[in-house]
Amino acid sequence: MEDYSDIMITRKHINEFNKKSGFKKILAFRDLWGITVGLMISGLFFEWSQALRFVKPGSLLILISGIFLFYILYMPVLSRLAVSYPYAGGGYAYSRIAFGSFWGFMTGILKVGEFACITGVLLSYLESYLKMLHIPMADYVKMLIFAILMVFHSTGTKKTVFLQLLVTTIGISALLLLFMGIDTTGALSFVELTEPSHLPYGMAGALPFVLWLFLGIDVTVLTVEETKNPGKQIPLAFLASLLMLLFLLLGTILICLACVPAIFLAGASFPLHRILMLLQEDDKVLQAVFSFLSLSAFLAGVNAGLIGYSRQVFSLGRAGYLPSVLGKIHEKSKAPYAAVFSSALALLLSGFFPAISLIKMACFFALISYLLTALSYFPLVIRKMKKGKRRVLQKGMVGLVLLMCAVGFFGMLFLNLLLFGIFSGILILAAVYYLAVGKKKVNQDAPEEVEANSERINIIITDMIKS
Amino acid sequence: MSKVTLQKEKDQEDLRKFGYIQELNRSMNLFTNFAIAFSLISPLTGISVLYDYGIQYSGLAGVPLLPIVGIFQFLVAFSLSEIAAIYPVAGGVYKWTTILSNKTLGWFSGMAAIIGWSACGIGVAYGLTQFLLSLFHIRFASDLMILTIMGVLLFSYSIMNLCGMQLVKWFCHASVMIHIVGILLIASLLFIFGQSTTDLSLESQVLSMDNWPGLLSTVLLCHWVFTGFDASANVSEESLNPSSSVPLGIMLSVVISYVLGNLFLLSLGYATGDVSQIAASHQPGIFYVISQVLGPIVSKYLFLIILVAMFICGLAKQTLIVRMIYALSRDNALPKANVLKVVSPTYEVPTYSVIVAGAIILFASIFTVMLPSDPLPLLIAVSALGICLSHAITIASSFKHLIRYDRRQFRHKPLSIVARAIAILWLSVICIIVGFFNIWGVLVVTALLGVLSIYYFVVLKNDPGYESNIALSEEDLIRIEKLRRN
Repeated sequence: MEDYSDIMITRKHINEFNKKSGFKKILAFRDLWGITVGLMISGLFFEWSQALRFVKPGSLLILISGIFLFYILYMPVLSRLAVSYPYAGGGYAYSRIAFGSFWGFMTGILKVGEFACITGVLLSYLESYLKMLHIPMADYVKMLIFAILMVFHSTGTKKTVFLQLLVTTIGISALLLLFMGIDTTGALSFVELTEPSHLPYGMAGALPFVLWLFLGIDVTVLTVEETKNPGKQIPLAFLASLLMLLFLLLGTILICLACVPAIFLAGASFPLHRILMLLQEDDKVLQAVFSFLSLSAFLAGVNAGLIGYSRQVFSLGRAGYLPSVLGKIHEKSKAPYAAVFSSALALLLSGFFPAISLIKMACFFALISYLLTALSYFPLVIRKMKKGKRRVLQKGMVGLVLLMCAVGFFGMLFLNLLLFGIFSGILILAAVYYLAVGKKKVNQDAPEEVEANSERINIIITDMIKS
Repeated sequence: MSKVTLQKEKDQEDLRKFGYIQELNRSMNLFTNFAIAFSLISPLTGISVLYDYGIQYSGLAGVPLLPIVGIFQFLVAFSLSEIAAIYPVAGGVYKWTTILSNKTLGWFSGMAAIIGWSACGIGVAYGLTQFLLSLFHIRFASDLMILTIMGVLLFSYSIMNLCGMQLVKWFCHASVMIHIVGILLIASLLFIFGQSTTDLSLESQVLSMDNWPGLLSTVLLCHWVFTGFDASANVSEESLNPSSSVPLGIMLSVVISYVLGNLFLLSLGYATGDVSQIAASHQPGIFYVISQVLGPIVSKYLFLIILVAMFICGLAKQTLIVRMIYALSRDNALPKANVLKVVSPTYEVPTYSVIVAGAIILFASIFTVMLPSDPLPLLIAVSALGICLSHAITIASSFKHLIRYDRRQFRHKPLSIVARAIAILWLSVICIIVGFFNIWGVLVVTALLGVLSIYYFVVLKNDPGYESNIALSEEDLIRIEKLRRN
């Protein structure tokens, strides 16, 4: 199919709209890297070891490799879509353009759910961590930290990403300290790595805890409207973040497994802290410094979660699906302040729901949103490609992504029927809201909507020319 | 047209008034300007490298000297920042003295600065090499090994400088973060855990005038900790609104270095304990103190932070030397200036100046490493004398200018006069202290300036290219700009 969008006024219209009520383009590669890695490294500090309750270390590594492969395949799909449709809506924008407003809204809601759960989980573990460090009134401290972060966010993206970069770097340096603090000499044993696991149930049980480590990587595309030269920066940031995560993930897990038997880690909520307590019992300074530095990894996660959540809510508010107040942007700081303050939802989730349930819910939200995003790749990109090897290759790649998503989803479904029921309930409620309210208030000037309408006209023109 | 583009055009127009056209990439804001000056001062580097010497000369009595010396350095920075606000061109002291006094004095001031900064750069590379060796527990390294490590460091600085200012900027931004987080972390840990292993050491130490040579030497070391703020001025032509961002960058870098540096030294002093143990430990004093208090693992982690800060400090120092060479060669004031002033159109850096700066430092490093004794005192003396001379000449020139000529340009006149008078007096005192501290340093600087004066009076003075260059005519500028566009 030919693309006629360049001869239409779409981009000009969108640029004018963005100039009036859009973000400033200030983010560069290192900022995107800071946001993405910050969100992901926080997961290394807690709960991943729960996977060892279901699988043996060798199977855990296989599972990690499988999920990494999924993200390596999914990354080019998402990058291509983000570069072609550079809107804060991310998945919502792609589904909206490809399948219409209902699916666009549903994908948007899935992403909102995913980021709300991610931020909620991080807040829950932040509180538990504070409690473990014997900090009094940990729940109030958590609320205070979150309130400060929200206020900080509403003062502007530049300051937020500076803070993000700082806390992410400190978080990574905490892992470095751990690597230095653990003596692995002579302890590495491959016996555990080759022991068989209980397949496939074990894998299904371990899946959410491993998938959790990668959740939220698509926060990068939600900041695309604020990114300078997104065509270059987004794919680069994706790749750098994934490789960094792989390096840190394998480093952490292998070092941990090399030092202590998996059984010691299986029940630990904070496996890294437990390892230090076991191996460096007498070094109180090391434990204190590690605890302090680890806190910044939690902050990095919460801060990045806040960025992802607020951008997604903002885009849905701007398009009129959610109350339009959520789509407001501060005139001077260019921060989506109302969307930022709406992230208090994550605080509520962290207060009222168990963290492990939130992790599983986040996985449900993420997998279906990945599925819809990957599906939208067919009409938006593959259909426009010329026939040939490249098109077949792309089809195969997206097909594999869809298959892996489906396998992951059914694997999750298998062991979490109650949570799936709640998840379905949320989606039904969202659909009812869309039909009753959201559908009627769509703002046709929102960039995602303008692009979708232009795409439709584009198809009509092409069909007319063909006929 | 965006605000940035408008500002760039205004800055380019201002630069034309000094007889130059815009060749370097002008994109630095106030924070970057501050970051470059701050990375160059780098309190983590200065204090870490000199801590052993300070302990050796005056024990912990030297700790209270740092805040006092810092105040005098603040006055020097204030005087230079006022000049930087009026003359925002690359070359710093060289260009300012040329404008405020005459070409001869300007050239010698620039040369003294290059000598000083080169020695400073070698000192940091040497210190970093020693720290690396200590980290890997290598007690007796051969000269070749030391030289190889220094060569790798200097080579990497040159490569980074050749890759454009973006990378240097990125590192300098990182340096600010590393310093703030690193010093706060080290200081708080030393204050929290220091007490458990040592007595309140500062109480047992008193300033004694019987040890005046040691105290004077410590004053010189403290001075060395707070040098480098004029780096900001050397990147004036790469800064947006330099009349405001450069002086602010200078002052901010001094103030923040002052606070962090004093906090760092105070915490070290607090945790040091028995100073006689440091010399016996056969490792850098700072390593010894931190590892005694915080244990082997945390201390290694903190050493890594210090090493990264030192690495970036060395990088910033080389960037500064490159800009000085570029500024001098642009006025045809150096041999082969027509080559040295060539700016890479892709990376917008003076390519050959980068190579020459790297080569000079590496060449001087060979002599340094081959010295029979510890070369750091000599490097400190050469660097302090070179930098002090250049600063003193510039401030003295402006002082004369301030009183006799254009009074309108200096807004805070009475304050400026007092600050400059004290600054000149202070710099003179430091030059005298260098003589007591290491007479070889004075001889090296004198010999180098002597050789350079022969070149200046015999070759350069008679060079018509140099004589006619200082300010290009309007026609020349239009012609060059047309050539560049073509």
